[in-house]
Amino acid sequence: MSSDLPASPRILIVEDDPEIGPMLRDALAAGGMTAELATDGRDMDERLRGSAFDLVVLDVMLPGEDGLSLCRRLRAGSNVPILMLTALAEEIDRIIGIEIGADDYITKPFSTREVLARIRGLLRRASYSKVGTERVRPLRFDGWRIDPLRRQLHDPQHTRISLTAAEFDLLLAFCRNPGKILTREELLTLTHAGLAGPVERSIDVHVSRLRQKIEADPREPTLLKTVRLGGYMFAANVEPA
Amino acid sequence: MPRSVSGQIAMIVVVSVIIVVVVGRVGDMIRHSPLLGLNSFDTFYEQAAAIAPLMRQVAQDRQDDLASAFAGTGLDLRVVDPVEAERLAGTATAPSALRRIINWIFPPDDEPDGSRVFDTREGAMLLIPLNEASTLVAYGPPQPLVSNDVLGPLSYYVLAFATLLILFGLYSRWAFLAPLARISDEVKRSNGTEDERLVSEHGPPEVVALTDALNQMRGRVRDLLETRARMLRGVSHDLRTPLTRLRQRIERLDDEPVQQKMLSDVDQIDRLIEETLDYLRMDATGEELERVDVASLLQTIAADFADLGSAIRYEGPDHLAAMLKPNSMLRAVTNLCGNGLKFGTEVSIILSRNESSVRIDVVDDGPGIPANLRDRVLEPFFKADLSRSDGDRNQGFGLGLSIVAEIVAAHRGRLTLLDNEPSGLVARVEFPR
Repeated sequence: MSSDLPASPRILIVEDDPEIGPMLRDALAAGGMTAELATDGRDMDERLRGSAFDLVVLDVMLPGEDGLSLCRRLRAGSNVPILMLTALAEEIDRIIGIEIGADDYITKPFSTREVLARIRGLLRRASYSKVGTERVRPLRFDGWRIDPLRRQLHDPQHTRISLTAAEFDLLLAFCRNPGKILTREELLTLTHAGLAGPVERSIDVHVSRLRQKIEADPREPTLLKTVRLGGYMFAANVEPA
Repeated sequence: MPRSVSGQIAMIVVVSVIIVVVVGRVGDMIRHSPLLGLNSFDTFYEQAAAIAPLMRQVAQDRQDDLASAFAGTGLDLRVVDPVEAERLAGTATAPSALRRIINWIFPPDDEPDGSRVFDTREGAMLLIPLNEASTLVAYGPPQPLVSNDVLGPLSYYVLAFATLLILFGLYSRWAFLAPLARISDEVKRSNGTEDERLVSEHGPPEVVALTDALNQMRGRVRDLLETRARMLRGVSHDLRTPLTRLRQRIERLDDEPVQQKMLSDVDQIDRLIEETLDYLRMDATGEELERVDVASLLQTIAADFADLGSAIRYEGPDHLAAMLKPNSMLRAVTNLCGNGLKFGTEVSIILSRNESSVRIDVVDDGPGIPANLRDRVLEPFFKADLSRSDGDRNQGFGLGLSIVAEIVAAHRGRLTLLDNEPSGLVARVEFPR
């Protein structure tokens, strides 16, 4: 799967702190990426005009135009994956939500390892899914409604069903590929499942948890079918909501 | 509609007078309508009173003839001698208590002088003495409970009194009691942070002024809370930037053991900041109630903890819908589970419900909390075990349970701490469905 990634992905870091920015740049370079640093919105615009980037790391607190506004502006004109750096967890909903439209976030103080993992995850996701407006459109299956932007799932009775990050990514991957057999390896790359935490869970565990929540009878699944030797298949009819 | 209380009272008086005049007039018309039969009462006595003097002028032996001449006119008359009259009077039955009371309050004044009215077993009769030798008996005088004479003036008194009473009652309720009750209700219900203002769309200026004063006070409280939250958010935000620098520098160190210790210090500082922010966020979030599957919420929490390597499990139905604030409730139960895992080794989240409420028990196998400390651990910044406060890297500010208690209160619910058998704590969250 790493063959899908650019050999040396170009990352633009927008961070005004005189130490965090350069240290992050060095860390990314050490991780095999080509990183450039911009210190404010104007700087970012200039660098984006100059060349193409595979991903933008954007701090929320910036002098002048702030990160949220930059992200909104960036998102309006481009599909480049955006990773936001924030010091406030309560901003997360807005950042990932429809309002700002970032692809992922990381809270300060972050570890370098975490940043690298998130960047790789985003690049992988971008290489898999054809990025476009349909990426964010809510979908409907069997009376259920899944909203990728708000990361919410509602059952046919309009009750909100809570999912872990991995379960949500998994369900979303299924919804974008209905009727297709997805191997465990494909599913792993399409989701956060691989980075969930110190305990590595197999795709099977996440699928079984997901069945608990969306199948009428988890032992006799009608939506999430196991394909012998192959992987899993989503048997529902998916349409835009 | 006058604005001032005196104006409104004057208006009520004017309205009362109008009502009394109009309704009184209508009452008169009703009283005089033949349907009520009050007229036959008047007529009976008027006729009896008119006949008696005429009879006195007639010779003794012609009185009977005259009396019988009225047969068929509705007047059933007979002339009797005094002995018979006394005998008839002797057959009178005692008047009912009600009639006695009415007669006492409104003495009958319709009857001709010296006459007597009484009930007998054969019916009511009116005795009018004509002269020493004879008495006129009129059978069957109508005896309505109240007569026209009583009803006439009485109806106006009662009407005026009742109208004023009712109008003033309604007015005081509308102008004072209801607004005051509503204001006190809202003040009780409010935690001082909501955006909504107390409303007083009606009521006299005095009540409106009270509402305005309360609104201003509420505004000041909210400003204060917001300023505090904003300030601490700013401080926390500014703390995290140097903390990030620190962390990145530590990551570049070569000395692994020192590096690990420093990193865990950074983590602890970050947790304390997070805890503070969590607590402050309580005041700030205006999260709405929505229909949420509590079972999936709790399963998600259990799964997230389990993925971090904790021994935690969920027991309960596969699905259970309830109205709640999902992010707040997630934080509350996550806090309880985090506490349970800090002091115990295993945590169970147990979901159940009854007709009216949902119950979430977070059960651990730790040492529990002594009964005398259970109220105090819900207070912010209280730590049950002070001796542990230094050196323990997991120690927070002691805000965790206060945050939970506030979240549960925001769901109109209750947080109770109970003993687990054989040891440990049961943190019970109950809220209406």
